[in-house]
Amino acid sequence: MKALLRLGWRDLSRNRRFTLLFVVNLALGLSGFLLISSFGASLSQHLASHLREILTADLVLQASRPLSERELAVCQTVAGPGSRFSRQIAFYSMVQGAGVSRLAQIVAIDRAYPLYGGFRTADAPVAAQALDDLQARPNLLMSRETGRSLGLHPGGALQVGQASYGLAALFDHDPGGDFASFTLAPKIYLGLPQLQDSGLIGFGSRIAYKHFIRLADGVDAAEVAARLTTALSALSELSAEQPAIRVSAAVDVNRRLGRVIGYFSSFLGLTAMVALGLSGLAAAYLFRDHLRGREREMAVLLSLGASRGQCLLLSLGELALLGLVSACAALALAWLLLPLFGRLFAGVVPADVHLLVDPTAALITLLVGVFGSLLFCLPAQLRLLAVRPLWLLHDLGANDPSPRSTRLKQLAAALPSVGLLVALTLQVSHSPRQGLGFTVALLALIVVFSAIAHVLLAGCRRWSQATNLTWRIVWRNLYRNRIAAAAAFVALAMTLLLANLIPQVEQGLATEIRQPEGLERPDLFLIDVQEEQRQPLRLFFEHEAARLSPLSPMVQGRIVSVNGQPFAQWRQLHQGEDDRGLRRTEFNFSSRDQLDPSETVVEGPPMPTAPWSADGNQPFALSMEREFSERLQMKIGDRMVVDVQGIELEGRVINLRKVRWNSFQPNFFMLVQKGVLDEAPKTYLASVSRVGEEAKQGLVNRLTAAFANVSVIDVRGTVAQLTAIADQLSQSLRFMAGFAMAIGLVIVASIARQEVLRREREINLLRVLGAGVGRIRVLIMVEFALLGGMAALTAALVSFLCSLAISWLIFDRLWRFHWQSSVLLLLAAALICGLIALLAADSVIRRKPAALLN
Amino acid sequence: MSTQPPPLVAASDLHKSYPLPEAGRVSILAGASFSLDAGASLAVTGQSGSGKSTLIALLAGLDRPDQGRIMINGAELTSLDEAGLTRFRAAHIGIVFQQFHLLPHLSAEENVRLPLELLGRPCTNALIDVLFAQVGLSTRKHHLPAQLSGGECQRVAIARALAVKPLLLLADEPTGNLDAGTGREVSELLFRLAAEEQMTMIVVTHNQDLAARCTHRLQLDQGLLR
Repeated sequence: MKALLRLGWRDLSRNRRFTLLFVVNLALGLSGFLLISSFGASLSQHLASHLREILTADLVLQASRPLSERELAVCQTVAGPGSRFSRQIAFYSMVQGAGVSRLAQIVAIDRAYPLYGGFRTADAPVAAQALDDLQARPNLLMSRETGRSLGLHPGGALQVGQASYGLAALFDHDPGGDFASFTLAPKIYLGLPQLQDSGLIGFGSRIAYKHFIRLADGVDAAEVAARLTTALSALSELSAEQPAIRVSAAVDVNRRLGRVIGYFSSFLGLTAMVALGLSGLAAAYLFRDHLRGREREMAVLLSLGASRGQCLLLSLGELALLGLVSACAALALAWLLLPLFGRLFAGVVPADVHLLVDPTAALITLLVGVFGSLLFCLPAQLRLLAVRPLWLLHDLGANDPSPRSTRLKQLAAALPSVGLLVALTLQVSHSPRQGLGFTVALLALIVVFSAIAHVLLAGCRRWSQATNLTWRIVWRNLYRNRIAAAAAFVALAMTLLLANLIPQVEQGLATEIRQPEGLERPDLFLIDVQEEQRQPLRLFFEHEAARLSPLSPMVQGRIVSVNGQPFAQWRQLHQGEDDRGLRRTEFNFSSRDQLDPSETVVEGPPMPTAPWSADGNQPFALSMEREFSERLQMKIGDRMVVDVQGIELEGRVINLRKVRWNSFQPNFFMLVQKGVLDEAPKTYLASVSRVGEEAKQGLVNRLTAAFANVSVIDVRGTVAQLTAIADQLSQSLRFMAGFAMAIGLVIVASIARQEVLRREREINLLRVLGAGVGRIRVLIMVEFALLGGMAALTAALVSFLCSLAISWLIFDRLWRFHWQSSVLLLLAAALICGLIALLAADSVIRRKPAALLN
Repeated sequence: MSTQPPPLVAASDLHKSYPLPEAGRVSILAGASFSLDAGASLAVTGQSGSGKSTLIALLAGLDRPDQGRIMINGAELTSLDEAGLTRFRAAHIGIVFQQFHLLPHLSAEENVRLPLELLGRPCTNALIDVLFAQVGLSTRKHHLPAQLSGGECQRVAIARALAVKPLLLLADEPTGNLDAGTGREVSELLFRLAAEEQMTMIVVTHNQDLAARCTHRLQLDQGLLR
């Protein structure tokens, strides 16, 4: 055993280049997995330990109306003694600062708010006096950033509705605010007693009434939330006209945020799995070649009396050691890169999150390093079983091609590593469907690329009759070494596919967010336009250069039942696990004379032009957005009863629409037939386009002065926010793709080196026959540049098809191929592959050809 | 009346054939038989491809005959399973290859120690010193095979083969890879050590001088030993 250990150690330390390549390759693959897992775990842990701060309470009750005395009494009873309460009213409104008007979220709070957390500047809490003054005086608080955008300093005045408020203090962090990366408008806090003066609490305003509860120590919040939901539902059943009250506990926030983090980290995690898969492939290749060189040694050991088990143990021990070292290197790499990862996501994740290597992920990495290497290299190990000491007496064995039966066994031996990849993919994707789908896609791509590689490399034989000696040798080498070349080809094509796809997806995403094809992107979006303001608003825009879209009515209604089944019951039976978040019963309804360019009917007839009559017995026609119908599991012909201001009306789904939400035009999940909403009290939405950047602020100021209650959303600002988030996501994706590409290059380097070593005799012969070192270098460079070029071309073609599919599925079939990046990648891949091969092979090329004589 | 001791090696009616790449089989040994007493030496000669190495492989238990029996020191090799064969080979048979087959990452000393360590036998420095002194390489113990000449490598290989004090030493063209002078030195060494250790030796060779030093000579021809 000691002898075997020494032999194993000596083998690894003498074959430094192999050991280094193996460790670097596997460490890169493992560190990608570890980085993503640790990032997700750190984020989850941070959120889990700050749930109360996120919610600012143990429980939050939210409704679109004030809670009745009876409901409040129920809350107090259920919450139990020792509980503390806080109240908040929030809505969106235009505010006017120093010559600047903008949309803001007005948050009126009582003195008890927040029950957890607080308002803080960068280095200290906001003064208690400023918070006390909010209740007693017409004062307000806002973030430093908001103050800057409104041109306000402490002491300045801000017009909110009909009242003017003084800016008492600026903060850098507000309660729960660090966890929101996207906001429609900044929050401005004022005292609840001061809200009435703004005159903004009136009919048609969409207001959120919130009640926060801090429970006594040791009380189970989830249990209280459940009891409260039941008690409030019972009350609501007694008075059916009252819209529901939503009760959220920390556990709900955790679930919601966990889902968001899950989507985010699984997306990156799957990219990391490509890297790990490739590094497994590379490890298998490297070890296969290493083992091939050791078969004769194994035969010697067998001839000296070592058992086959001992030989296998020696090889497994070496692999386990290599895997362990790789895993340790991955741990170190992840530890070094995690802070960089935090910087990459600055703004998307909370600033104070501590990104640490997750112990569970580290353990998995160690296990995958040790056992994964064994599994990845299992097919190569099979060759060991075929080693015969007899080879020492005959020139047999080591270079013999594997028989078909062995190849089949090797294929079967690859299955456990596929299983490992599936298991890890499931772990990072948190979804069996996604995980399996991804693995199947990955394997399918490997099969497709292998097939293309074999066809292309077999085709090299045709060109091997070239008159030019260099080309003749290059084509012949590619043809002769098809298996190794195909492995390099597949690895390169996979990484280059990733590299090709990222700009295509980015391009699609950027185009869709910034300027959706075929649509005019509005500059401003107007909400809360009252019935009587329609005509004055149209007149207002007649004197402006900007263009006002048709006004869309909006009425809030409650879905009572679907196909005769109470909506709550229908939802329970038909909604999937992923859609449990869609718990509300109130939705916005609208009607149109004609569809907006951003929507198209994809199923069913168009909406009838004739208005619906309440006198007939016919249900009104209802048009539903396609994805919304899928979430509610509704189809054409289904009936729905809607409660609008206490009047129940029955509608029937007659068509499904596809809506391009990124158009930022007034769009709705549900459109009803003309005439249905005529009698209902409603507000209107509209968009404004063709506003120059310089003219925008002036127009907003004039609009706010003329229509104080109308909220104006700056679409361009919102798009900028979304673009910034999308950019950060692409950056992180590029970061992970970089890992995969680095592994691809390690594979090229190792294959080049092994190939050159294998051909050392041939190279020496060429040199003896008069070929200079320069010519040999050109041969190696051209061969690998060609391989890289072919892989890049194939990857570009496949990415062309993939991007077409992505645009078909995601970007509304608007397809634009970013050919420049593909051409650039093709050239870069050819050049880098050639250079890397040259570097890897240089020491072999420079050896003296006299070795041929030894 | 004294009883004749049984031969140390007895091979009878050995048959061995190999499959051809396309179809059919090629017969290498077709009923080869011989016996050899303890302490004797046998040279097996024959043309290239006559089956000399195949015979060595069968005697070393590296391969199995299609038919026939091999008895070494009373043990029937053909009845042993793979593990039994390995154990028997490790304990009783030393092999010297034409191409030395030293492990390149181990020093000369470590290569010699290896069979003893695999057997789990004690391997004292004194024994190593003796072995290296026997092959005349006391000063080159710590060198790697790549730092030794062909003749020196073969001497190390001989020391390795002798380390377990085998009953039978098998040598496959031991001087085939060496120049004439070095070959002579190596064969001299081989025979001297075999005599000192009273080992039975079977040498497969083309070298007529080497063959002439053996107590017995057989020629492989058309699968038979004559």
